[in-house]
Amino acid sequence: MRHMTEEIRPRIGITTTVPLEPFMASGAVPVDLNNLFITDAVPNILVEEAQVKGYPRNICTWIKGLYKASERVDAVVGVVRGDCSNTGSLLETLEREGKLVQPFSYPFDRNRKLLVDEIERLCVFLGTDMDKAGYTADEVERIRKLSREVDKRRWKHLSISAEDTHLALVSTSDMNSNPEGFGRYLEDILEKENHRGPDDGVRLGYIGVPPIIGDLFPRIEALGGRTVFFEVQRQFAMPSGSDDWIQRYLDYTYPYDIASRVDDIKEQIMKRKIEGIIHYVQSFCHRQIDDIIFRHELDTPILTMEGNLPGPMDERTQLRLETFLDVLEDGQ
Amino acid sequence: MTPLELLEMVPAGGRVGLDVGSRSTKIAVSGEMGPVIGIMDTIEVMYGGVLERIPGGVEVVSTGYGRNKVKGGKKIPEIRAHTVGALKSLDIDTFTLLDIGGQDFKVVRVENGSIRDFHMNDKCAAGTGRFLEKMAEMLHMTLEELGSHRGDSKILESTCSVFTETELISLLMEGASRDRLAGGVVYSVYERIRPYLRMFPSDIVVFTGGVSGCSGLVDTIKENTGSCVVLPKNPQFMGALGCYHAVMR
Repeated sequence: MRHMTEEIRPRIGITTTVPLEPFMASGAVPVDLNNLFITDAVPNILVEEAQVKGYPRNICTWIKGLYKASERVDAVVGVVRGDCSNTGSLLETLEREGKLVQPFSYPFDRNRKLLVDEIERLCVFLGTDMDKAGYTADEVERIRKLSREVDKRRWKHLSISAEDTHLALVSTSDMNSNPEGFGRYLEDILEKENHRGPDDGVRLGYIGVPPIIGDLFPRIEALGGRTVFFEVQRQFAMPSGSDDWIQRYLDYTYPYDIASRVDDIKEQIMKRKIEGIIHYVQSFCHRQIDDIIFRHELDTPILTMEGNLPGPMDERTQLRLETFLDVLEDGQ
Repeated sequence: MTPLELLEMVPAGGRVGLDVGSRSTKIAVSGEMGPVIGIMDTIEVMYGGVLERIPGGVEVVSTGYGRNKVKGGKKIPEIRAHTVGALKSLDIDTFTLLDIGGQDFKVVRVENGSIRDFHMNDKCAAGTGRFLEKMAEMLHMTLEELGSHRGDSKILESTCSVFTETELISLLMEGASRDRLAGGVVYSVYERIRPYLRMFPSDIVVFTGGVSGCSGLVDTIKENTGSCVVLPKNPQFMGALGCYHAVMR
């Protein structure tokens, strides 16, 4: 195995949230490839380029965007268990093209020892060790706590916009590749609390992976919905805040069984007084199947919203969203 | 009467319900004996400046894809409009509403007069009015003629309208009769909506929208689901009538 050296501050692509402590300890810069893809000036061209390379049309758009975004990083840490079932093949194709790759697995059975092994392997790959990683855990938690404070002020007082809250939470995956700067950005949001929108409207929870629809949260807001729960984005900020930094990644619901996700969602529905759920699913994603379980387990009305390509919300999705809000308002 | 003529006759303080659909625009306005209805191609409505001719001093409620082109008034979602229209047109309050229009279909579970749940087609317009128009064109039939065929069995395999055309050509070349193929087209529409009807099983299916005029499809749904299929008077106007009545809410 090739090791990263400390002096070059390499940019390491990640395919979703992974423990950030080894990055902080090694000086490697985490770069969430999803963000690199979706903030590209022409993300649809990246998708097309991946398809020209042979990535199938009927496979998730994110994985194609990630494939092309990988060109802009020095190596890729890909979560092959606990996120996307296509990441294994993504790493295989990247490795074949000469990219340095490292698989990471959240153990299926949430086994602590196996998770520690995975984090140790990540440490070795990044040129550090568990002890050094552990020393950075307080700083990682300090910043995540700021994100969680943004979330709290959103659902308790609606004093921060849905879009800002979504970004504050979702960006904890790589802390915008600059943890210190990201911390200041969050402090700034908290200081300003500049959102003074109406506090009436239907209280919505958003569950599922982050949306590819660029203007989703402002659009919901404009139609009178108040998104007060961002399930997976909030999980990226490790809400358990356990004193034991390894435990935070075991309490993290998203990569493990769906039952713990359901429990978390149920608890937050009660706490945040949520009246309706938007379950976002990505076209061609295996997680679309989870919709069956959510519909069975949650008593709250659910709108399943499917997105495929990056861009603003299409007319049909807006129509469905309007109707959903209309039905919920009628029931109020 | 055309929407333009109808708009000219709305009395001051009257009401206008507008359903600006993908293919046609339906309108319901206050008349002496209740709402009066009219229909026009949406493209003509857009280019003919019809929407600018709505007189002042009337209450306007609109729905459909072009609702945002209607200046002023209230906009309501289509599912609400169609449900209100069906509830006002029929003396029942618990049913499954099936609406098939030009490019979409909606299946709504209505219980005690309220919308409980709904599904709409997403990402694909197979099985809608536009699909039937294309297939009728292929088979050199009028839409009415095609729609009168009962769907007896599965003939077409494709789930895509464009590929279905290719399939129809191949089958025609193999010598399949036009009537048999027309039945296959109607059956494919039934197959497309079947899972949605199964999600909201009901003794009564209220069928609305332009495609409800296909008698063969009505029979196919009746035979295969065992449900009673009810068509309100003027089934294509439920959206416009729903808007008209929503003014009163």
